[in-house]
Amino acid sequence: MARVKLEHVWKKYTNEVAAVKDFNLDIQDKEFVVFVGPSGCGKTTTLRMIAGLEDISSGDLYIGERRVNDVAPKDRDIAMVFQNYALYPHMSVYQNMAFALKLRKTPKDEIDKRVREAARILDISHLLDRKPKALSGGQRQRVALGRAIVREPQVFLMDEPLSNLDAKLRVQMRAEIRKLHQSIQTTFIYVTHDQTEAMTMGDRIVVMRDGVIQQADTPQRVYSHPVNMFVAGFIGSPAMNFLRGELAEEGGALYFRAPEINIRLPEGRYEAIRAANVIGKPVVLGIRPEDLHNDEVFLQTYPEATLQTHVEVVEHMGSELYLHVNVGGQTVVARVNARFDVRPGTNLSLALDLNKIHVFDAETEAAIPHPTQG
Amino acid sequence: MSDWWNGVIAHWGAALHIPLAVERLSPNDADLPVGEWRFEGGTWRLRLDAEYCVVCSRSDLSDATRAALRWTLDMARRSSRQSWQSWLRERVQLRLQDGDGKRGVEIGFSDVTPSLPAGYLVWLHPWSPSGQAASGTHHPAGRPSVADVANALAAGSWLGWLDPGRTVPYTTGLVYCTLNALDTALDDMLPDGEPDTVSAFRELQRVKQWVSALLVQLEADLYFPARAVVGASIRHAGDVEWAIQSLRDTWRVASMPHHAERVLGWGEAAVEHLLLALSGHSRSQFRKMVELRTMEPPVELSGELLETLLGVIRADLNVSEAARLLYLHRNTLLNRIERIRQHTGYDIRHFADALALWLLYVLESVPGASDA
Repeated sequence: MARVKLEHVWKKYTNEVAAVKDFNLDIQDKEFVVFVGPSGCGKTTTLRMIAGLEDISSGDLYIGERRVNDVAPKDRDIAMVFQNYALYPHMSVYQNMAFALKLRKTPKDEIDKRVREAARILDISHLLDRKPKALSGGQRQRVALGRAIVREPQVFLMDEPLSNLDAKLRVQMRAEIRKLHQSIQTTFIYVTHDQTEAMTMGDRIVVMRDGVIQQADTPQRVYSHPVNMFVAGFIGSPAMNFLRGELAEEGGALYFRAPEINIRLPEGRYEAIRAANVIGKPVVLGIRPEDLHNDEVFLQTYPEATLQTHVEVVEHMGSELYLHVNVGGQTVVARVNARFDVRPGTNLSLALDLNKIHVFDAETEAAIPHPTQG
Repeated sequence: MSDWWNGVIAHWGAALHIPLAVERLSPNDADLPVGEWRFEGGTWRLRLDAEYCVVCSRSDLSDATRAALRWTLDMARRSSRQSWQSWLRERVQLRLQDGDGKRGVEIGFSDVTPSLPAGYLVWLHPWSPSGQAASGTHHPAGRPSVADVANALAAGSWLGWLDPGRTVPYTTGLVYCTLNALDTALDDMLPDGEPDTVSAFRELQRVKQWVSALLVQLEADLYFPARAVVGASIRHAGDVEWAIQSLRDTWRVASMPHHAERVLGWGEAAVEHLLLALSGHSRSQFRKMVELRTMEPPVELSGELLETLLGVIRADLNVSEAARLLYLHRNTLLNRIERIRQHTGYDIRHFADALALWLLYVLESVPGASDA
């Protein structure tokens, strides 16, 4: 069990390109942290630096109380599971799980004990004599996890371990990995580009872009209080809507204005907006598709936050509709209940839930903090 | 009758115009050691084994010719007892460590070559993507374990370690991935293994898939980071020399800074292979031509210019896609492209201009380019 701490960690390649820039993160013992971001954002490089498969250009890395920058990977007490973590084709499940221990000259009795215990945790004891060919995709993935568990590491490092699985199996394995974390109570660091995986698995998620941490927080807070437009747009599906316009002050009230849009902002946001000094400047108003409503209750509650839109596309998702609407030349997606009969080509009033709006500085793309944000 | 000497004798007889024949031993040959010459009755005789000797009826067979033939027959005898693995290992090491100067040693060998299964040579470089090659010799994983992992993925695939030589200054590993082993291994090993081996390209992709799996296993099981290059395919023994050359060339290409692939196959970067073949003079002429258009020579392919150029190339000159790849707003990228145009005279939205700068960049990356 161990805490992992990265202090001002940089990764620079020989051509001076920085893949990871001033990375600071304190991962608590037994925490499940997910690194998420688009490809090339530096998440895998960071994981590989923790593993020792990449040199750290500058900064300090601690596992437990020990600074491990110069400690060989095998002595860092970590285990890794990768996306393409294959099984040895001619070995049984037992031999596959035992192989890495055998290479490390672990005594036979100890190997046997660890393999059987890992098999018990993963519920694959009945598969120990089988060859990989006779296993399903999910079973293979569990064996791959078992190969990491038998090492009894302080930290598990997982690099997109579910990317090769089909969608159904991925959902199942997400739960399995989460369960595994609860049962073995070890620090997990998990890399994915899939924001759903990040949201559902992590105690904390670290959103990265261009080698820089954008936000590190609980999934709920990252979703509710994104610190900038990148995080706001990356987390959530469909993505958050961004409306470009300006903030204007009139009679002591603040308005967001854009062509065909005039929204009076809630008073609770005034202080932060004034402090950000963006009145009269271009801003971006963010609203998630589920925070746009077409039912009467909302339209009456927020008459000054209603958009008159034109429906362009309707996507039927079963219990919900995704409405692609146009307002003043800007496209917005709304997620509404499927009981509403909305057709393309019609006009539709949509009310914004003013408690859920986000305001971003158009120049810096940084969020102007919400008062509930601590 | 054992026939390991047939090829050598036929080859040498024809090449040097000397009459060579194989005969049963005479009683006088009983005390002649195997592999030694003796002149008797106007003929030269060399004992081949317990029953046979080779006889040359020319008395003026020179010392040098006799020594060379004796050595070649000795090697042929050894080869006849070798497995294809040891035969291949011997040749590959000669090529990779000693350069191209050993061609002569293979005279007369082709007929005694063990049956070589079709496959691909894979050159494994202990490597960190930061550009620093780890030392395979001193790697904590140890040499035997790396061999164990390779052989666990495909039995008999590991050929051995190559100690530092002129080509690379650190220890590297060699694997021979046979197509038979691939067929049985890949489908069992990877959930998405495909049985389709229709085209040579697809075959190479399968080999790369296997090599990628090997690299992952080495990292996960041994914490051993490596990169690999795959040479041209080997269908029979005669292809080995070319395959070794292709390994070397592919590594030179893979070493260029813009190549980040963990596994690169021969022929996957044909343009770079072509550029590597250019002389220093041609490179320097090309640079001069490119700079004719620039207002402020020399063109410095670094920083923002380089990042933008590579981003636009990666996006196939699609500015919107390049903006996405570079995490830039489209207008920001367009501004940069315009600045580059004003500074260099090249508009990288156009294929010919982007290509000229990219070729210049690749040429600058070629080892030894500064000598040009």
